[in-house]
Amino acid sequence: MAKEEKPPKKPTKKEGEMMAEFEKAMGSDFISSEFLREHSIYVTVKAEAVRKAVDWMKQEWGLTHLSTITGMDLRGELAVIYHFEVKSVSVSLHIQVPTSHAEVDSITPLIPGATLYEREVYDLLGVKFKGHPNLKRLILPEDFPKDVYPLRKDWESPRLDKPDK
Amino acid sequence: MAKQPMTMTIPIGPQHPALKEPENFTITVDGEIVVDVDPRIGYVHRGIEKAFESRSFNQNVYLAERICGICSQSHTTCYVQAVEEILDLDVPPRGLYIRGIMNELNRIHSHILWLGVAGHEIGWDTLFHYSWRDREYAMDVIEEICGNRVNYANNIIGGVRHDVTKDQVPSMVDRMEKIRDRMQHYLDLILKEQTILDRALGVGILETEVGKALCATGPTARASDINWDVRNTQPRTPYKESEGKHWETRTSDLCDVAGRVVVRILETIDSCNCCIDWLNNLPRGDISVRAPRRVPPGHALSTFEAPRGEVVHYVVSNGSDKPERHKARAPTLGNIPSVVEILKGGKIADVPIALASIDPCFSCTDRIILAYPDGHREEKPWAWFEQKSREERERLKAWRR
Repeated sequence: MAKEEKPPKKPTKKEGEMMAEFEKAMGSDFISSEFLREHSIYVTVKAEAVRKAVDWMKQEWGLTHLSTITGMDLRGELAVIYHFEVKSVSVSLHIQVPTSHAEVDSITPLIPGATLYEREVYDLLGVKFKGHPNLKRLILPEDFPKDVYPLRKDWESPRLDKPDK
Repeated sequence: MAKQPMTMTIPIGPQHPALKEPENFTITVDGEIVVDVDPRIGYVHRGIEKAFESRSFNQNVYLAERICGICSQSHTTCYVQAVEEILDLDVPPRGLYIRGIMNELNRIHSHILWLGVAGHEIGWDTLFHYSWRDREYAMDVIEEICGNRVNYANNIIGGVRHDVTKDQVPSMVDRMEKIRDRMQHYLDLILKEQTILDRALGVGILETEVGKALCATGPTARASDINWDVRNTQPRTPYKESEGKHWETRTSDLCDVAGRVVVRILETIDSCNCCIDWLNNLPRGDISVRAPRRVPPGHALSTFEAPRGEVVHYVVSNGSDKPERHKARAPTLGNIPSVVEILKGGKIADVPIALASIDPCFSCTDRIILAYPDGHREEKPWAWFEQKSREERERLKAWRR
């Protein structure tokens, strides 16, 4: 399978400025940034800096809206991706934690609307959000076995039918 | 000795009077007043996100369609936009316009459906019957374009499947005009309906700051004076070409059920205008381009303004014909924290309409005529109603403190 890496797109002015500002403010906690398209950027920071990053965006960019949180199993590590919308730009904030020690600071104290999204990621992927006011099961039934997380790659549903080959 | 509040806990749901979907809200009441709400969702969790990972990108279009039965077009649009972005595909303008027409028809029938449901919740079933009759015009147009009433299967990666022919356009435009006239009629009619105003003004209040903090989306947010519409902040064809001419971001500062009604009814009229314009001025050309089966490694975030609010799809591809991860967020999840806040401080009799108000629609605009039994009629300016709504908000603010 030939995997061709596409050359990165050249950021538009507003998005490029936002990426540069963010990189400067995060300092040593910054890992990478990527321009997806006009109105959409993707930034990665160290897991410990998630509150710092959200707080900075709140103060400097007037961030209020969190669209959702994606949890993703990278086999060995879990990624938590926060999708914000600020100044007409979708900002995706990516952090990574090891599966064996999946703990992140909760952003619910900063963005109250994050409460259900964090509970969803906790429920389906087992990421613990430190400082969440009410971190309990949201989607799975009460009798679902503990420490089993359906969205992890090693879990397969015995009941989910497989598509025809 | 100070009087101790006596509270009582009542489970509402999973089967309950407000919505047809199963959701559980455990409410704590002190007399008639709701003091706390605890939502419990997941009764219809179908594992779609997991299922996405075991199906190919093309099969997933049909799976995405089945996330929601009402805004099915919005979910496929959002999903194919994300995949097209990873593939770097340019969809022909005609395809984008037909997609836009289908999305606006989707919004029209969804908003009219909720107008009927809202009428039903407050005990005015006449509105329910009439509005659902008018909704059939939109359903017929949808059926004429793609052969289905619910899951349209019109979007494909790279464009749309069904074209609109020249001879179809006049009758479709005619029906869109009929819907627009009916919606205008409901605006005028509801102005004279005291029952509606009694049950909508000052009921289910969501203050602007609270709505912002809780990340409310869609008409729920716009009715709380949050000027935010994904069609405006993430402009795409054909919306960016028509903004200001045929549609605009509709907001209301009433922050209550009546505000949500106003916003939804105006959006329906806007959507009719968009459909009429796009049907009459469809660009010529192909409706789709061929998309490869395998998608190169990459990721894309796509958002779209569905009838109920912002839909978010995030697709990660690993280079095979199946996605590595596909996250879908429907607008109702985003609005649940808001509905909890909406219910608090309200009366228990208002719970069904307040719950349903994160997606109903019916109307009232600038003034009302009150008719008395002796035949004397008194015109009330809209400001009178706004004042009434504000007084109720002040009472609630004081209570919530």
